This record gives sequence, structure tokens and C-alpha cells, in this order.
Amino acid sequence: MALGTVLWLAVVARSDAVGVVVGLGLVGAALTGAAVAVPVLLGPALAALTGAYVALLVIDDPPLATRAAGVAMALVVVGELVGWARELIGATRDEPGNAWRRPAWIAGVGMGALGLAWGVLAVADLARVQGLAIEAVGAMAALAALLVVRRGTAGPEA
Amino acid sequence: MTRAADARLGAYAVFAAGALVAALALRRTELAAIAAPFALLVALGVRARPPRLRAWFELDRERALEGDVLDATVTVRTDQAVDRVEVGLALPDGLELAEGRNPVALRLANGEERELPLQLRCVRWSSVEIGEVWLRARDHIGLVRFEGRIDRRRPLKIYPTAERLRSLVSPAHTQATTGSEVARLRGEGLEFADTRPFVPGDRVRTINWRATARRGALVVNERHPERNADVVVFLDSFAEARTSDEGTLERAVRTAATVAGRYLERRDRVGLVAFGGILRWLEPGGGLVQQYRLVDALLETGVEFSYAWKDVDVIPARTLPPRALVVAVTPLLDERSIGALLDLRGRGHDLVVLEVSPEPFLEPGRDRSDLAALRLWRLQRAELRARFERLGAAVATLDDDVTIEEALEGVRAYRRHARLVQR
Repeated sequence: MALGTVLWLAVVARSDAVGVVVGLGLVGAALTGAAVAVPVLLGPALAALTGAYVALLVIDDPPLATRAAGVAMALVVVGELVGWARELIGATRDEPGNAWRRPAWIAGVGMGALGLAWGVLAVADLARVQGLAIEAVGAMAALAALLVVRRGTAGPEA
Repeated sequence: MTRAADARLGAYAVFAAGALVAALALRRTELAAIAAPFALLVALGVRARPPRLRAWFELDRERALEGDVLDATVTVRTDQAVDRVEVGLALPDGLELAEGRNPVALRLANGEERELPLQLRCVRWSSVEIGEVWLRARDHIGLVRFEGRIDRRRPLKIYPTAERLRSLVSPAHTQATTGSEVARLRGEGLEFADTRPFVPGDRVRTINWRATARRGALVVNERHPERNADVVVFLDSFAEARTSDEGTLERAVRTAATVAGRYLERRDRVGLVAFGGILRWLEPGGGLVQQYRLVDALLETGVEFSYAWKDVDVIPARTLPPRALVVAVTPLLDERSIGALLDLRGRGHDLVVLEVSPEPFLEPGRDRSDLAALRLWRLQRAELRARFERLGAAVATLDDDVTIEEALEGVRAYRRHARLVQR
């Protein structure tokens, strides 16, 4: 998964950014593999993979890269896969019929990460454009806050 | 239950914080978008509450023989749903899993109770406590886990399997009470001993009429009475040679249990001296109760390291009756036990040495000096055996190729020969 992410970033990067992206990405992939045995390396592995993406952002300097959602999903899946791999190394085995839960959970978390990152990017894009849309989002947020306050101050039902 | 963070929790938290700081520093929203899922996972993960888990352990019996398979059940119950709980039964030395899953990861629904059947094989004699169940639970996120140990331990005694022995070493001296050993003295018994002239007081039924007719005077039969004997098993536990799987002590205990059990079957009185870092003894006695006492005492025997010098004077006098046969089971590795055995023989005890050979547990080096050292060591041991035999104590060696029965046959042959010389 980590190598796939590096490959993807290398493909979409401009020619002058490819070297840095691939270098950092390979370091991240190597650290990811090592993190299965030495879990402390998971943080540096995620940081190195993100560093590859940051290098791409800094060199290419796009206005708002929607690939960040994909990167977020990939990193979350990498982290969860490392956790799963460490569980599989252990002596404990799932009882029959439960082994599929973990990959299903990882897939779900990946999709959730994708959606959340998309949401953050969408809000950021709205703020960047600063048109009618941002006013609408502000109004919705105020309405939601009012609903929360009303629910919180309401007395017990009779 | 104790709370412990998974390695991912720290990694995710640091990564999310670092990415948010980088987002601010570089003014890139994309980094905040990358950090958001990690921050959310950390926030959800740290909210995890410990589940209420209970566990029980049941074992079908408290005593078993080596090689037996025991049925055990671990029961786990929860009051709330747990996404994944790892359940493991700590297996003490001497037991291994024959069938079942241990440890196993379960998914428990709200209020669910689950029974985990296990079959445990007794691989080595020991006196153990079994029933320590450890639990490790985590929620869906899995960033925080809760660990606990539930102590449901109960004692389990695994007795050594006894080798079948057809005959034993006959003691030089018998005691006054009736047993299965044909005594050397003459009296009322079954085994024919000799004939002699009739003297007043002899019972008519003892007259040998054929011999009387041939000699022309009354001749009576003499017989050997059946008596019991006192036997003391001397177990040397000062030192052992061992590999990861087995050692001389295991073989010595198995041999001692076999020999002691067989003598008890013959209605002899059997005692025990476990001579090692900790001295254990059992005064000679007979019957089934004594057999259980002996085996229990043998199970407690271990090699306890000690620098203290010990000789036979530390053994209680009543444990070593004067006319007892002493069967020493020893690897002949420690000077203290060798000295004690020589001392016992010097004091006139009828001594038999069953040497549990440490050679199967050795891994000699391959170069010339190692091989020379091995040869020298073997010569020293041969000299030691010869020293015992010069003193009239038979030495038989038990190893991978020699059973207890075969070793005892060697002892019997030596003692027959030794008696001829004494005459």
C-alpha cells in the first residue's frame, strides 16, 4: 500500500519533483515495513510518506490539491494494515468466521478517511472561494449551533 | 483491567499534531485534511471504556499420569459487547495443548457467555497450578486495549509413568515382618532351603520322608521365610545435565518412582531421601498412602542451586534404617552426593547405584581438545564407577538405550557375583 502510494505520487508529480517524492516515499515504505517489527517506526513512516506528498505540494504548488483525500485514505489504511500485520504475527488466532472483520474494518476506515478529508477540503475550498456558498455554510453552522443549544437547555419531558 | 495504548495511538496522535502544525506553517489546507482522519481516530480511540469481563476455568481432574489428556474449559462472559477479546490460558511447564485454540480471539455480543473447550496433554511429571486466564480486549478502533489476568488456579499433579519391572534387586537383609522377599535365614516359609536331622520340637509335617527312608534317620526340611525389606530411594538432586526438553532429573524421578512403586507392591517399606540443595526425606513405610506420599515428594523435587556442603550426617537417622537397601538414583555429577554415597557404603549400607547418564544431554565440541576432554571425562566417570564397585556397590547406567529393567538385571548379576566372592 505504501509503495502504491509512492508510485501514484511519482506518476502525478512534475518531473522536477519526482526524485524527491520517490526518495522520501521509498524511505516511508521501508519504515512502514520495519514498523511491523518495531511499532515505534510507524509515526516516522507516516511522516516520511506525507513528506513525499508535501514535497509534491511545495514544488508543484497547486491552488488546492484534492489528492490530499486520497493520500489521507492511503495513510490511514497503511497505519491500520501495520496494526493488523502485528496482530497476525502474534500467537492469537481469530475464531473461525471472524477473520474477515478486520479487513472489512480497514476498508471502512479508509473510506471514512477519504470522506472526511474530502469534507475538510470542500470546506476549505468554500472558504477560499468566499462566495454565496460560504454564507450558506455559515448559516447552516449557526442553525446547527442553535439546535444544539436548544436541545441542551430543554427540560425533561413530562 | 489495565489500560494500555496500542503503538498506533501514539503514532497517530503525533502524526496528526505534526501534520496540523505543518498545515499552519506551510499554509496548506491539504495537510489539515490529511491530519483530520487521524485526529478523529485518536479522539474516538481514547474514549474507549474497559469492558466488564469475567472468566472461569474448569479441569476434569486433579491428578493425572504423564501422557494423559485432560479436558479443560475456559468460560468467558461479558455484560457488554466486545469487538475483540483475546482469551488465553497460561500453560505451566509439563502441559501442552492437545486440541483447541489457545489463545483465541473472540467477538462477544452483549451479555454473551462463551465456553472454550481445550484438551491438554500432560507431557512431563510435575506438580503445577493451572487456571490463570489472561484477557485482552479492545474496541472497534483498537487504539486502546484492556488487559487483565483472572486467577482461577487449582493444583494439578502429574505423576510419572512407571516402567514395567518384572523383578527387582533383592536386598541383602530382610526385616522381621512378612513380605514377598525370600529371606536368607531359615524358618517357616515356602521356599525350600536345606535338610537337617530331626531334633525334638520339630513339627512332624516338616519331616522329609524320602530323605528319612534313604538315611535311616529322621530328616526334616528347612525353608526360607518370606519377609519384607526396608528400601530407601536416594535421589540425587544436587545437579543435572539437561537440554531444553529433558534432563537427568526427569529420568531420575521417573526411575525412582518406578522402583519405589514396585518395591511397595511387594509389601516392602520404602523411604525417600532427596539429597540436594534442599534436603527432603520420607521415613520408610508401606502401602498405598506411602506410595502417594512418595510420588508427591518426588514431584516437589527440583535442582536447587546450593554451595553448602552436605554429607550423610544431615539425613535424619530414622530415614536410613541400618539394614535397609539404599537404591541411589544419581547422575554422579556432584561431589557432595558422590561423597555421601561412598560414606553410606563405608558405613555398611547395602548400596545400589543407578546412574542416570548425563551423556545423552551433552553436546561435545568438535575440535581435538574438546574430544580429548570428553575422553578424559569419560575415563574419570569409569574410574568412579569402578571405585563404587570395589567397595561392593553395584553401579548400573541408565541411558537412551538401557531401560530400568536392563539396568537392574546388571545390578542383580553383579550382586550374585559379589556374593560368591564374599563367600
